[in-house]
Amino acid sequence: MSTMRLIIAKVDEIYFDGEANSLTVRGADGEITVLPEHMPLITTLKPCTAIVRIGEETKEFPIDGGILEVRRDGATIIL
Amino acid sequence: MAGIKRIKNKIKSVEKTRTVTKAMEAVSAAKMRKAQLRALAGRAYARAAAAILSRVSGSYVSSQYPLLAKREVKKALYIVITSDRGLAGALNSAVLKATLADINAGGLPPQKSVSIIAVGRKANDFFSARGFSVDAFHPNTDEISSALIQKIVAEAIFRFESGAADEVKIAYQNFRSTFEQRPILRTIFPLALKELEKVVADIIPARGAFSTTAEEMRPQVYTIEPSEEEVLGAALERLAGIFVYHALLESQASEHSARMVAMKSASDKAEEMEHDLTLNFNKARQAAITREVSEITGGMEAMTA
Repeated sequence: MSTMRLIIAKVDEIYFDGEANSLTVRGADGEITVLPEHMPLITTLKPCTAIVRIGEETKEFPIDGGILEVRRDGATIIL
Repeated sequence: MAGIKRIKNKIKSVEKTRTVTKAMEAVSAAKMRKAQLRALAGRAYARAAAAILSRVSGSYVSSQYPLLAKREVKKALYIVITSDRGLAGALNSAVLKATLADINAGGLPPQKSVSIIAVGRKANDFFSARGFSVDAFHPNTDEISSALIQKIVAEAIFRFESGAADEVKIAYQNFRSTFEQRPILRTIFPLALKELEKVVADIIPARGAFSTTAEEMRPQVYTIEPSEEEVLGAALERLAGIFVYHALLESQASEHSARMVAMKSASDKAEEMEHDLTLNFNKARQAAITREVSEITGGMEAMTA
């Protein structure tokens, strides 16, 4: 399974930085799941729990808003 | 005999000073490294934010946005970052001087139309003593909290939007390498992409262990959801936060490296003094011994004669 570089960070703290298979968040227009090779996208985020899947493992990050930037090779959430 | 005792006491006190300065040097070195690492950790965030801004800042919406709009400067707000403590060489005076020079260059009557947000005790003391209105004062502690960043950003945005300031600048000591730090002034509001790009570029020091990094590729075209306006609104506060956060980090890295260098030269000087004093001490002791011996031989000769 292909992966993408995912970073979830606050200005002074990194919550997650590594390879992930997918990311699910609540964007401005509803829930979205970002997979590797997703088209470039910038969206605001609504308060939600970000779900990160790495292989069999699932990680959850509660977030209260932020901005998601998606590139072909990765994604960055700034909180 | 009194001379010898005095020299001995002096050697002891110099030794004590050297122990203290050596310890301070080591502490500063460790703290400097920590600040540098934190600055690097913040780069991903700054890059993403810069990409978002560069995507939306060229559009029509952005020119309408108050935080991006330039206007005639009648009142200015300076956020000045210094350290709380001294013993760091010319660090603080360099920042304060540069800020004063910039205020004077602006041509505004300083005491009336310039206000200050002071971070660090030295900035507060300096501007209070010169009759500036210091609107807010925050201590510059080792732990930079996001609460402090948000507070400073909120203060700056409030003043800019309410018209209490037409321009918000931030002044701090920029860390270039362990031996080179320069005072720098940046305009936060009206926010400009160019300034932000400079901040991102500055996060990498000019020389040293952290000076090389790999670049990521950024696409040219993004889909924006829900609208450019909303993304921009959400991004601006965060972008201003990046300015403040990195200014704080740079200033801390500078403070610690300046103190480290200052303490190193103090330790070296103490060592030199100790060496000289030891030499003097030995000379004085030798002189005393010689005198005693000659007294004894003189006495003996007088007895045998």
